[in-house]
Amino acid sequence: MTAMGLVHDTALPVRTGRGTLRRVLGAIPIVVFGLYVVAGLFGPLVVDYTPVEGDLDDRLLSPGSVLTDGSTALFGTDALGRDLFGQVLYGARTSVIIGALVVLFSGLVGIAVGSAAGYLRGTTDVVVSRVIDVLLAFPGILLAIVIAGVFDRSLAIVVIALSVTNWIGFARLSRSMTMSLREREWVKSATVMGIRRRRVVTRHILPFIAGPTLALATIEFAGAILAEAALSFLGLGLPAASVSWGQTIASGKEYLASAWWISAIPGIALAVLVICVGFTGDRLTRHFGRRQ
Amino acid sequence: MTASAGLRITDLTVTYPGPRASGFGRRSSITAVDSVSLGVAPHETVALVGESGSGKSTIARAVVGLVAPAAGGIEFDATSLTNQRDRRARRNIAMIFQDPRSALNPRMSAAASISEAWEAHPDAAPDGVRKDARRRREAVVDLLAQVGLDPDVAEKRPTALSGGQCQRVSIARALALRPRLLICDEAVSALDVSVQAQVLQLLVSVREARSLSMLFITHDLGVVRQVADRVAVMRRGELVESADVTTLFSAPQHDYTRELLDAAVDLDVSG
Repeated sequence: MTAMGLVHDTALPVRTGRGTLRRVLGAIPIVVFGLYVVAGLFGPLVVDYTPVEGDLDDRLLSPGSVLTDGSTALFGTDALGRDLFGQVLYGARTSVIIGALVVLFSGLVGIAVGSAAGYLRGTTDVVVSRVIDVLLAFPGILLAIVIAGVFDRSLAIVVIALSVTNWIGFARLSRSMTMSLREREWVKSATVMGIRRRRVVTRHILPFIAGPTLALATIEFAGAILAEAALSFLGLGLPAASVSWGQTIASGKEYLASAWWISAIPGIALAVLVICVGFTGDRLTRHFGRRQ
Repeated sequence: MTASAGLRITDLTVTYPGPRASGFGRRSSITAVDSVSLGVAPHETVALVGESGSGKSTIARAVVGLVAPAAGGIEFDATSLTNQRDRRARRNIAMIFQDPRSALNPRMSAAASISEAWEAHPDAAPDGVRKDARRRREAVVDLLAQVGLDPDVAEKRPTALSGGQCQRVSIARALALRPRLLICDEAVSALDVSVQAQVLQLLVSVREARSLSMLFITHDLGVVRQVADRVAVMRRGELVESADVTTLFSAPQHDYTRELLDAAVDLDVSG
């Protein structure tokens, strides 16, 4: 791993024009990621969109067309005359919510399981490690498809289906970090003083795992968004009444030759978000990797 | 020395898992401490010396419950300490570690590190420190004063303190529970020579003020002469000689002890 980050080497005393350029370029993914979150949170308050309302007279209009009610469809309309801009905006909210829930849920489970295995070692660690080995033998999306396919479509099922493999990364990270941290002398002196084990873990080990876990969380967040889109594309994700990029992409696949924008625009939105989150995660990883 | 008072270690054996004989073979085991018997009477300071890997630190770790003994007994005032999970029994014993910086949580202030012990052992805490923040602060400042530190150290984190200051905070923390036995595992060997003397002086004065017993683990024989009443020499997990400090330095009985003393003298001459 290189010691200098793309952006952080410009924090050195000497600042050059090239350094400033790199700083600006390095900040772009974070800003874009922030825009998505803001759009997802507040966009639906500004723009009205319901998936059941659509004027069939307005179907398959290209981006920028004027609709029958006089408004402009910035991103065009789909086969049922529904506004694509609204779909992308509401889809952003769905993606951000699902990504956040999956990361929160699987992060909590992963950190709890991983730190317990790393701290207790012995049988606990053997059991956890073997369960992880078995789960890693399946492609994550396959397990998610099976779980999402068996149950009724709902938000909770999607979150659970995606968390089933998502927690593994958190568990592995916190397990290995706990294993090395528990040998540090401040952990030992706390043990010697008779501090309770749970307290030793929460106070003397977990705070030191937080940074790298945050870095991992952003990467897992991108993975969860992508996986949710894949499930929705296959018709296994959220209920049809909700708005998801995966569903929009799927609804446009018969019109790829005539109305490319239906699939392409949410596809681009998804790709840009995942790439930006990935870059942000890499930056965080480098940042915390250097500090360790 | 009576049989029950102070620390009594009888036939202590500690083993660590070694490498496997083959990929799926049984683990061999390495004996770090081999049936060692040792006592530390009340108000007595025993120095445990020996080269690296001789098992002296392992004895300390077994006493404070960081490793489980394979065989033998450890008692303090006739209470057994062999159960690793028994937190209450160990309240009378405190330990000072070698590396002053890493013995303190880098994200916690000195005051937080010191007062943490009181949360774990409410019955050993001074009156009111668990509920009253001002009382807690007073108690922390009092402890810091006892180890020669200013009150403003309380808010500082280990990264803002020098090695000697960190070790003083560690000593203050060790004293917070009013222990009766202090185990110092190479407590001064990571410090600068000048600081070393000061911290050693502090340990001696704390010992006198609180009439503590002390188990002093070191490889520095010069330090031993300054602090110890009795010396126990270890080699390869076994106790080779145990004698009064003056007797041991003037008339060592065992060849290995003589070698150790000669090596120390050589260093003194060349250094």
